[in-house]
Amino acid sequence: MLKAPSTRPSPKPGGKWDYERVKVTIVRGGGIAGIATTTRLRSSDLSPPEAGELERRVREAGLLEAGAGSPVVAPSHPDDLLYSIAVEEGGEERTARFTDSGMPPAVRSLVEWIDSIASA
Amino acid sequence: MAHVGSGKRCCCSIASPDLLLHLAENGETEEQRRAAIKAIAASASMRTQRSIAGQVEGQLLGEVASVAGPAPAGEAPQAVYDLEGGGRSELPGKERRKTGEGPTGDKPVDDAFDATEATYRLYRDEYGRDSVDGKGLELVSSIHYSSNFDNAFWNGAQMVYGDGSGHLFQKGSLTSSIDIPGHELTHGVTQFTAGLEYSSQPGALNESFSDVFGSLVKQRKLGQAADQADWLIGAGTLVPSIGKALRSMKEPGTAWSGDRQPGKMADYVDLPDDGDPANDNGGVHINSGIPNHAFYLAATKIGGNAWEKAGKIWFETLTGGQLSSDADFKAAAKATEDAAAGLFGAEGAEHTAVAEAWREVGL
Repeated sequence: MLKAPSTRPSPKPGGKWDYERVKVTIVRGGGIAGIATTTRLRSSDLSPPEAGELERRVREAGLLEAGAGSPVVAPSHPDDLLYSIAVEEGGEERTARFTDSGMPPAVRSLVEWIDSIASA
Repeated sequence: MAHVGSGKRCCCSIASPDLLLHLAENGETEEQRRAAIKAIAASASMRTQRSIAGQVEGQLLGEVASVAGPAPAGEAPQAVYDLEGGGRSELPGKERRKTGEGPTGDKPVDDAFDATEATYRLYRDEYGRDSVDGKGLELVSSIHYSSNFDNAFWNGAQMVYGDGSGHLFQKGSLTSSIDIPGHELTHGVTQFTAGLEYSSQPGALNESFSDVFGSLVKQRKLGQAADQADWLIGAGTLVPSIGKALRSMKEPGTAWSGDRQPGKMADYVDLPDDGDPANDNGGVHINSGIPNHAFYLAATKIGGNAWEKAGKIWFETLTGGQLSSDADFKAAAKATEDAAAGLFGAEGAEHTAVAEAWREVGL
C-alpha cells in the first residue's frame, strides 16, 4: 500500500523531491478503432503537488488493493473500450482491467486526470 | 459472454444489454421476456435512460410498435442529445434536435443527426428495414460523452459519441465521418438480428458487417459506385501522424501505421480473447479485414453501386436467420453464397462473384 501523505520525505538537498515512486501505465484497446494505445505517468516526473495528487487518486481508485478490477473483463457491447491499468509502487506491480462501460467513477477520474497531465 | 439462466431465476443483472435485448425478444416464456425487459430498465448502465429503456420495453412488448409492415416514408425517427461531458449515468442528456426540426448550427449535433438519417435511409429505402430493430425504434444519439473521449459506440439502446482527444482521433471526427455512425448503428442491427458473439471469428464478422454497411452509408450518400469508392473506414478521423483511416476494405493492413489487418485467411492473426486490450477480444478489429476484403471483391466484381446487389446479399445474410450467433468465416461465406443464389439465382453472376470473392481470400 502507499504510505500516508504525512510520511512523505522532505526535499533532498538541491530542492529535488524524492517522492515515493509511483508509475501508472494505462493500455487502452478495443473501441471502434481497435487501436491499442499506452499512456504512462511517473510521480518522479511530476511537480510535488502533482505527484501528491497522483498518489491520492491511485489510492482513491483502490488500484493497489487485491481484487481491483478483474483479471478478465468482457465488453458489455461492441466497441466498448478496454483498459488495463498497471500501478508500480515500491517494487511491486498490480494490474487491473476494466471496460469503459463498467469502470468505477474513481478509476475514471484517475484516467481522465492522467490524460490531462500527460497531454499538457 | 454472460450466462443467463432459464426459467424464473433469470440472472439478468450480470447480462450484457445486447443479450438482455435478445432475451427480451426471444425468451422462451413471456415471464422470461418480461424479466429481461425489467433488467434492461434497471441495469446500472441504463438506469437513467428510462425514456429510452421504456421505449424499448414498449416496442418489444408490442405496446407501441405495429407489426412488421411497409416502412414509413419521411424522416428517421430520431433525437440528438448533449451530455456536456457527462458519463453513462447522465444519458441521454439535454435534447438538442429531433425529427422534424431543422439544423441547429451546432456542428456535432447536426453531423450526428445527418449521419443517423443517412444510415436509417440506407436500411429503409434499400432493404426495407425500419430502424435498427426493424420496428421503428427511435434512434437516440448523445454527443460530448466524457472528456476528450476517443470512441463512439452503440450501447445496446442508443448511440454515444466522444469528442476525440486530438491525440488519437481528431476532435469532432467521430460525428463528422458519416461511416462511423453507420458502423455503430449496424452493431444495433446485428444485435437485433444475427446477434453475432463479440469474440474471435463471430466477433470479427460482427465488426465486418458494421464496416460493410458503414461504408455503404457513405458510398450511397456520395453517389459512388463500387469502383469509385475509397473503401476506407473512418477516413480522416485519426490524427494524420497515425494514419489515413481506421481500416481499408480494399487493401487491409494499409490504413494506419500499426495496421495489421489481414486480407487473406493465410494471414489470420490468432489472438486470445482474454480481456487484454491489446488482444482486441480475439482480434475482432484485426481479422475483420478478411470478410471486409471479401465484400470489397464481391462488390467490385458485381459492379455498379455496392449497396444495391452486394449490400442486399450481405443484408439478407445478416438478417435472414441463416447466420448463427457463433458463425465463423466459413459459415458466413456459405451464408452469403446462399443469399446470393436466393436473391439472384444460383446461375447468376452475383452468386459467382460472391463465391469467387471468398475463394480469393482463402475461404
